[in-house]
Amino acid sequence: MTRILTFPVLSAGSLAALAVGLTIFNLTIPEPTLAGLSDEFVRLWRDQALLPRFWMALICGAALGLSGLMFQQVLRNPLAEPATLGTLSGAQLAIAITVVLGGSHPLLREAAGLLGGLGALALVIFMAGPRSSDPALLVAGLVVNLAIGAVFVLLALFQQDYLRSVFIWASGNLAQNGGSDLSTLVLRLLVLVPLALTLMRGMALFGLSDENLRGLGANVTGLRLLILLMATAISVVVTARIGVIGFIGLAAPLLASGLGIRGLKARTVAAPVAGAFILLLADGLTQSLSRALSGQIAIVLPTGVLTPILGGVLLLVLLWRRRIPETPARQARPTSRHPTKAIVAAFLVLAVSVVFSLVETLHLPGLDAAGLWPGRWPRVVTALSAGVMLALAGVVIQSVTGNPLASPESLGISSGAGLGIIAGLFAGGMAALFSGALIGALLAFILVVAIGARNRFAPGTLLLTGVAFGTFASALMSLMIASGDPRAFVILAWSMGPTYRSEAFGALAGAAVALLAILTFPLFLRWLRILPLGAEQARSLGVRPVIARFTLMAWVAVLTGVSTLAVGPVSFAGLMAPHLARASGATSPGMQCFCSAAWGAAILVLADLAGRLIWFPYEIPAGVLASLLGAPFFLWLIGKSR
Amino acid sequence: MSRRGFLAGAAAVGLTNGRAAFAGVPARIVALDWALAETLVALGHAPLAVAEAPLYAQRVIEPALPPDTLDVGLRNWPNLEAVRALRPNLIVTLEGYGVPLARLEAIAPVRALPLYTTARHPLHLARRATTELASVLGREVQGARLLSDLDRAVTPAGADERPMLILKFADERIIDIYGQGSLFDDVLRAKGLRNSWTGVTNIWGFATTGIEELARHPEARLLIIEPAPIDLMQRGAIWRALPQVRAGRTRLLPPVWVFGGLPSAIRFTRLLGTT
Repeated sequence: MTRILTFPVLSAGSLAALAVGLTIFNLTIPEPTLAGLSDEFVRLWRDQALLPRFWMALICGAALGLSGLMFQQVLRNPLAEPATLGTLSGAQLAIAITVVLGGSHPLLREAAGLLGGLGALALVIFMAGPRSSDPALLVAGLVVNLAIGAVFVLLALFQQDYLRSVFIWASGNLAQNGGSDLSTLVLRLLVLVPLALTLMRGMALFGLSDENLRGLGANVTGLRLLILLMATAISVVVTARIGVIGFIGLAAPLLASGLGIRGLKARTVAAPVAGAFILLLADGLTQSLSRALSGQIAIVLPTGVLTPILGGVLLLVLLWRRRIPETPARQARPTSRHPTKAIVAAFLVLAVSVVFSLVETLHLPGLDAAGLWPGRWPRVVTALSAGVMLALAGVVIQSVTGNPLASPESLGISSGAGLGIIAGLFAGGMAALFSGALIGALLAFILVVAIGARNRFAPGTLLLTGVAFGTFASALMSLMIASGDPRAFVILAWSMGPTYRSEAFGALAGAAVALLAILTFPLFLRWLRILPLGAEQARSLGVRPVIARFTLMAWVAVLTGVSTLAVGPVSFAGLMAPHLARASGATSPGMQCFCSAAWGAAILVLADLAGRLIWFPYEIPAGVLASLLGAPFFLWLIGKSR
Repeated sequence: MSRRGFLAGAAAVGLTNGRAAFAGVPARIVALDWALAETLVALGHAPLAVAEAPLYAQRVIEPALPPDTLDVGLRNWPNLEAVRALRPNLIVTLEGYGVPLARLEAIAPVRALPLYTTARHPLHLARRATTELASVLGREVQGARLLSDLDRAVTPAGADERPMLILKFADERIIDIYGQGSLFDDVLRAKGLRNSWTGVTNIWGFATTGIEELARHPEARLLIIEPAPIDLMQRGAIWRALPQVRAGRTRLLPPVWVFGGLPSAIRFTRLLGTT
């Protein structure tokens, strides 16, 4: 046991030492930065900006680590973190709305954030049902996240420069202007953290299953609610002050257990300490990097961009050495109803949307359908085939990983494509976007395979790798938009599934791959039936899990990559179509694939059509609309099947 | 914009809504960029439709678009079907930004004009764009007048001027400072004024930085483009300690379009006034 842990402990120790070293370096203010500043200003700068910033990093990191631990413990999912139940996106949306309405005071922002965060949490709990199990909560959280995220993107697209400050906040900048933020935050945490710690004993209970807990007479629902409430409050007061610092809530608790620290009490100390050091290190690196690049770059580097890289690297190092303990999430119990009705409905919606998409000229008097045809059919074909590809990929990845939160982007392929686009924009301008996406997706795939191969493509590792990528990509996106470069909105629009830019060649290529996917998925049905039974069981049935997982993953990766290139990372179809299929009664893998492909296509074509019509002449990206309109429908369906 | 308004505009083929129409001159123009749209208005030939026309009034302010100007969607993501429905005979757009040109050319003749490029001389490019648009529209006289308006506006100011920093708040800790490659920097140069910011800028001519950076330019005058959270700033210790703030050398400028063309350059010089 001790031998296995030497490596992580040593590396964590040296990183902690680096964090301390960088902090001292930054607080002493090295020579070149002093040029042109008066002594008096330097003193003031240190006392009013650098020192508060140091304490801010330490305290916020610890608070986020604690909050993450509470989420993971109560929801029993290593992917749970303050963002999982929609709280951060709720806070972000509320803050954005406040800013658009003209409010910019920090207190107002905090109040809006708290209201939005708790509102989103309430929505998630209400939708999942009061006595719901943890997977149901997580799924509802994800759906609410998608819907809120969609509204936020709409606001961002149409209120661009009003929201600049929101994006700066969202990119997680720790710069301080005086010590008032720090003292306010400390006051809040002095109340919240002791309250949270009194819930420790309650948290420990969640080592048992809900059934056992109820057997013991515990009020599981109330307890979980209370703990989630506390954890949300902690993460939101921190986030309202310093912005979105991704990954610490996720990585700190995992790091603690990765170092071999067991027992809830020990982890309650270790996770905040880990969080504090990760943020201190990230912020130390950010400040040093800003100094080194001072005068050579025209942007401000926010800490929130570095934390996902750092947290991701830490996590990947851990994953390289040992497996993260994974708790397979149970899937929703299938009902016995036959899905025929649902499939017929899906095809009906699909057919009507396709026909109407091709011929409608509602807003365009004087134009006939024939004139619009060259622009219309590639959109419809692209939406349709992307829907099919994403849905199939979604079914496969959810059953391979046994995690209902998994979606095609969980592999990190689309995030890689997104990063490639940003790189392409800066390297070669608008013309290089596509090649950037292609290269990014390929590199991401290679990295995910390399890490996955070390762990025999264990599902937990795959998902965490993908999440690491995703957090990083979204932080970089915030940075791009915060930079004020008008081209950033091209990327934002791109990332939201614009069937808008589809052209004939791309549409046909996408359709060909979708067709290929439909023809090949029957080959995998046996694996899909057997893999969820566990590796042992699979081997005894003559299936080698490593080969099966790798093949399936590669298949998912190709589908995700192609659809990402065609319509951008459209989350909804890949995540929800499989759930819709299950909720409408499709139990066998074959039926699930078929049913969700039909739904995926219907959702995207309909979203593309509606996005064109609702707010003419502005076009709402299909991905945004799919999440926005699909989420309530999805939750209604889940509610009905419960 | 209301759907009815759009329908009316689309139906008005042949009519030009009070806009000039001469033989051989493109009467129905769609502008996808505000700098080019303001130039068209200043030339006396307002475009039929402008991307994000309602927002133009808040950001560019003057010259105002005619109230019946139609909207064709986002600047970087215009609705191509809406553009097509207007049956334009000219589309003007910024080069290297937004929709691929081939898609626009499938609809109508396109003029893609560069303004903010790696050459970093937007004022020079704005002059060229003005001349080019004027000749396309057969409005050379108005074009020449606009150029001479600019020349008059940028006549060198007094010699003993302090250097300036032109900035806009991004939030209460972070600012955009306009330097080389920005319209404002070009105007200052033309007026013989000194921009204190000689550091790097992005392709749009500004650098984003923390407010502490201002302390390196103690002699400069701060020109702050509105909107600015000045009340909030006054509460921060760092802001109050800035040498320019202490000496009272700050001044607020009403909004002016930061990625503008010639009309915005002229507006900027007017706002600059006697400084």
